[in-house]
Amino acid sequence: MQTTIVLTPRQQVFRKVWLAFWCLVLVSQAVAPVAWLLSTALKSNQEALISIPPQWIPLHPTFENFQAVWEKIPFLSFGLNSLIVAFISTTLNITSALLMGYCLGRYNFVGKPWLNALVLASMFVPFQVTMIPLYLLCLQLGLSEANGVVPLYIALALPFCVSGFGIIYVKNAVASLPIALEESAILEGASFVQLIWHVVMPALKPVLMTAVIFSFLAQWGEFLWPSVLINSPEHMTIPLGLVQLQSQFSMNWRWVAAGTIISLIPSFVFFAFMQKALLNPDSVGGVKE
Amino acid sequence: MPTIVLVIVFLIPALASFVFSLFTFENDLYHPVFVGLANYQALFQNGSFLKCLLQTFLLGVVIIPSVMIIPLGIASIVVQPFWGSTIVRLFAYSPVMISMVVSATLWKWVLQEDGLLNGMIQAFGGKPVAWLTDPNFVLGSIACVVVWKALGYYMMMYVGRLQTLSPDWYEAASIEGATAWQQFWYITLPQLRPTMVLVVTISSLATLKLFSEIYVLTKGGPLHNSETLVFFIYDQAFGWLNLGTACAAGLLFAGLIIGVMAVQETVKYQLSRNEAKINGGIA
Repeated sequence: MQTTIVLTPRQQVFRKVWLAFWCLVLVSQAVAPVAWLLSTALKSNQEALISIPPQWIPLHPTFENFQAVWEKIPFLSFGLNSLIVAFISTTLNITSALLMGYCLGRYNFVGKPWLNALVLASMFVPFQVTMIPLYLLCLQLGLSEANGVVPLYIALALPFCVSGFGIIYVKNAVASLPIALEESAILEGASFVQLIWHVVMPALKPVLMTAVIFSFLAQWGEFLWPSVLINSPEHMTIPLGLVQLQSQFSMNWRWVAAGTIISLIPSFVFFAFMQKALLNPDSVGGVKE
Repeated sequence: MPTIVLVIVFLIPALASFVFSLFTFENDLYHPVFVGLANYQALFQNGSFLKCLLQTFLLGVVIIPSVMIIPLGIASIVVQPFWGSTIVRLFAYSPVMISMVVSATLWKWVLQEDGLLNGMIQAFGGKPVAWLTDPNFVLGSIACVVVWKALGYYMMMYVGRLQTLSPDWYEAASIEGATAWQQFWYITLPQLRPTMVLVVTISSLATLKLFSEIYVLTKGGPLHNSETLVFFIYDQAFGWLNLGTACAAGLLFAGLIIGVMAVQETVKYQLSRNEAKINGGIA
């Protein structure tokens, strides 16, 4: 994207200022809402939340809102629920995507066109359509919160443990993999499991990592399906807990703000660790194609 | 084994959805009555369903062009190598990491009648606007929140494409005396076409499936003025327990999605054929 147009020094300075201006706009539009929420969370009870012009920096910053919300709301159990569900569904999702994607990409078998069609169809029919029968199915199978935590976790993870996107994504990646490696492994007498574990998985590592990250993020933020299944506060995941927090303390935005900020912390820790993988442009559009 | 799960979580419910859509559950949830296509008929006579359809369409009209154009502008800024470009990229991408519920909460606090935005407007002497409770503004506000969260995602798609563009063409163009704008219009843009098609595909699917933002920001209000299709399905199924109506609406929704995808595939095919023609002509 470099142009070789020669600029005069004055034009260069102008260009830099112009660039800096837009970067500033870009960063502040991304940060402003979060900063405003943080500022609200840090304001004490004595300080007015609404003033004209808005007060960005709290006059007397305090952590009392965080403390109060932490005592009122079981964030740790919300987080744990979210983590367990996201972990189960991501693991199953990646395993099934790997196995099915590999088989569809490499082998010919009876009914393969049908299976391909099924996978494609599952991508086009939105979850909202299958949700209602799935809900009834879960009730019939006893996978509801009335029967304890484990059935609930299974029900929460169930719709997301196979995804058409994941399968197609792996399948396309397998197609571009040189077959020689696998052939030599089979000649050496590797079993199917060994083949997948020692040859295919390492070769597909970047692809699988991307799939893991996006599957995990999607699960972490999932709202619709858990909102259908969960009623009692001790089973709630983080997004549900936040919505409940809002309806419970709708008048107290200091607490809502503090709670929301707390729930942001894990996302940002995850972001900090994963930023290299996430900001790799190759990994972004690929999930879809 | 995964096939069996796929059948259980997808095929059976999809078929069941169709069967349910032929029954009414209104009298007794456990003893549905067969009504044939009456549910579908009722939907088309039901003003609120058509309203949801229209509102979803309106959201798409605002959201899809926005996420096609704005992220391209951002990407062409951050793709240039300069000090701090990675950090700017990181910040621009960060809203993508936030879950939808959180981003909707953030914006609720900004857009409320006594929120940040109105505070700023009043500070400059303007009049406060009921961003989330005025029927004229509510869809626009929701579109803004959705676009804000999605910008970084589409930005990275454009950055990925821009980085692979060959510098030779630009060199040739600048020797020929093309301005930066001409270079963008005649060299960059045509090469970005596949990415743009992908952006339109992803964003139109995402718009059709909008739910969490609306649930948190407005709960469909004021007076159903911000309900979308998915919200309608959810409300019918779990608010009113009209499972038949909800399933019928759901299937129409699936048909709509497949229709949208089919149109886009056709467009994509036409584009690639045109391109092949042009390339063939040059050769």
